[in-house]
Amino acid sequence: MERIRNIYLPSTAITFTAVILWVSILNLAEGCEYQNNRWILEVFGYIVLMEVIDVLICRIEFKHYLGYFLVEAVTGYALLFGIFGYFGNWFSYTPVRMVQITVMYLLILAYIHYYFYRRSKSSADEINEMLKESGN
Amino acid sequence: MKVTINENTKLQEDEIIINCAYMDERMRKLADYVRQFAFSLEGELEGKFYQIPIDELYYIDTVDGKTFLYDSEHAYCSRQTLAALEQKLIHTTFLRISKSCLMNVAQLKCVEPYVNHRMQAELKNGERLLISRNYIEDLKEKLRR
Repeated sequence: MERIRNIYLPSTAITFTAVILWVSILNLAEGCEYQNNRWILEVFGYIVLMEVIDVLICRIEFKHYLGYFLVEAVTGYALLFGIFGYFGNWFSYTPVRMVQITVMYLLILAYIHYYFYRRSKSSADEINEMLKESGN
Repeated sequence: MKVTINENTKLQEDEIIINCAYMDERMRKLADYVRQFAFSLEGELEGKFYQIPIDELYYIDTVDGKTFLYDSEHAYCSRQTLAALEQKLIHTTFLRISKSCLMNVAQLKCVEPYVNHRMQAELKNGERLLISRNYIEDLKEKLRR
């Protein structure tokens, strides 16, 4: 439960908010004011599925953080373009749109990883400070 | 704090007496630390049994159902389970850091963030262990005490 509260709820909330904001701004900029409710739920489903995939990926013993990031990035990207984007008609597969979606995807994913890395780093710094004080 | 050491070759057993105004957290920590010098665990290495003082141990883990005690040079096999050892070492500097490992916090050099919200602990002998996210708060609590 603590894992859901500390990790999966914040990352779901950040990703969902970022995606909805990004796409809304993009749609408004292109003159489209209509947004499909079903699409919003599909986005939520995609994010939840990504969280489940993250749980599975975390079982793999990665030597470096980059390996973990890349596996998650490629899996999520394949799901986005191969399944959700295609079957959900989320976007047109034009070069410009694909570049836009790729940039959005990478920025959000990088921010999520950075957010949790900073949290973890701050916790590690606190422990190292306590170790220093205890003379270890 | 005054430290007095009385050497006497006629003594059959070493004894440490702490005289204090009251037993605060610092004194309790000191007493626990001293206590573990007299505490040893039995470990088997190449068919021979050894008593290993726990302050010399870096960590204890379980691999394929077997429990191992690690000092700076050797990995001794223990007949006890990790859960039993955890109970036995509850008032010492040992702490559970994952489902399969107990770490001697006194041998911990530093920690750094690791994949999947875990932490990597570097011990004084250079070995690295993974701390599961569920035990990070326990480590902080142990260090606070």
